[in-house]
Amino acid sequence: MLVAAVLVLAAVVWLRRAEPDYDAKVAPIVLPGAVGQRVQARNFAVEVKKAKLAHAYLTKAGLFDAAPRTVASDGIWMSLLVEAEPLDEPGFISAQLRTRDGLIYRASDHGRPELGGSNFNGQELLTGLRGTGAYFFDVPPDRLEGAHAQFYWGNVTPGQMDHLIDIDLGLDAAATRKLLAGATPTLDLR
Amino acid sequence: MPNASARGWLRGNLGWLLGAAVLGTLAFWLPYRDAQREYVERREPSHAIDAAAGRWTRYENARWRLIDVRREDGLPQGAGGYLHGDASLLIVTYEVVPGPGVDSDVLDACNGRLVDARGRRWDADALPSAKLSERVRALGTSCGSRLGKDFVREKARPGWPFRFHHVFVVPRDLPRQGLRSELMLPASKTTPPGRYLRFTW
Repeated sequence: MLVAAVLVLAAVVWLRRAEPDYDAKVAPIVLPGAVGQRVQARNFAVEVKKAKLAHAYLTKAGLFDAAPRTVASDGIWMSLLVEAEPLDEPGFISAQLRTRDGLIYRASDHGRPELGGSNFNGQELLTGLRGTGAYFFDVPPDRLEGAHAQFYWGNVTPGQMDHLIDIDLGLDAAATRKLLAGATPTLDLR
Repeated sequence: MPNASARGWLRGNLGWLLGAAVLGTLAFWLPYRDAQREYVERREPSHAIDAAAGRWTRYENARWRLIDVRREDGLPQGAGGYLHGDASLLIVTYEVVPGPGVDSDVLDACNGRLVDARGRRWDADALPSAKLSERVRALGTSCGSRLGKDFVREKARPGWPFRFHHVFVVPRDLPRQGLRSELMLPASKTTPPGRYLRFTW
């Protein structure tokens, strides 16, 4: 009887320790994918077409600018050309870059670079109207290797227990070196 | 005489104790009441009143009817504010006759949406394209008022029909079959909360 009680107690302790913590219980549900693959989440779909690097962007002159505006990066600009579509209701699809060591870089604001509806971060997309646009990330160049792009519904943070699309950008050491070597000094987006 | 001293203490501190009890109750009840109100306000429309196209239907002390649905193809690719596939403009025209005492400001709080047979949803007048917005503003999209000549606001008056339009940017291949348009006042303002009008075409 005593042995049984000890075993049950040990099992209870073990089960309690093995139980996921609260953050793990409510964590987003990750849907993996790759570049060139359309991944469908609960209420939106995304396909990453291409990744590109640039040290700065040249955009149209603003209302009070005399010349086209140069948007420099603190690290390096990574742009992801995507096709995105809300499936059930209009709304926002946001993006972040997750580095190999778990750091998160959110996509740059809708106004940086200022491209109207082509910068999809903060752009409301309409139901069933698949759009072509881009997300822009200002990241340290040494964090690119192994980075994944992640997409989620809404414009705040990934929703608890909601889908998070995770795209492997295929950035191994060789691919990252090649991408960095091809980085444009100033990419004209006018 | 511990009992006598306890009674004395209670008598001496009765005011404080009653005050603490009242404040304690309020500390629980007020946030609960606010949370409940917020929940009702945020609630999705839940009680549909089905309305056939062309027929008057009562809703929140006013009569409403859908009088026309027009579809315009050939919108520019950026009509939705970004580069997207082929889109159409769907213009739904309604009329409302406010009942006695119904203010146009109350009607202006109404929202519209379009729902297809698969349950997909479009919000009325979500038109980021500047050219489209101008055109839609000229049509008049508020349920209870519109901007008239010389920027004078024309308001719906009790007993008089008032016409307004809701405009949707939809995929061009959206089938008309199974589409329905909906009108809703804020969920917390209707009786019961969440009542809305659902027009079948």
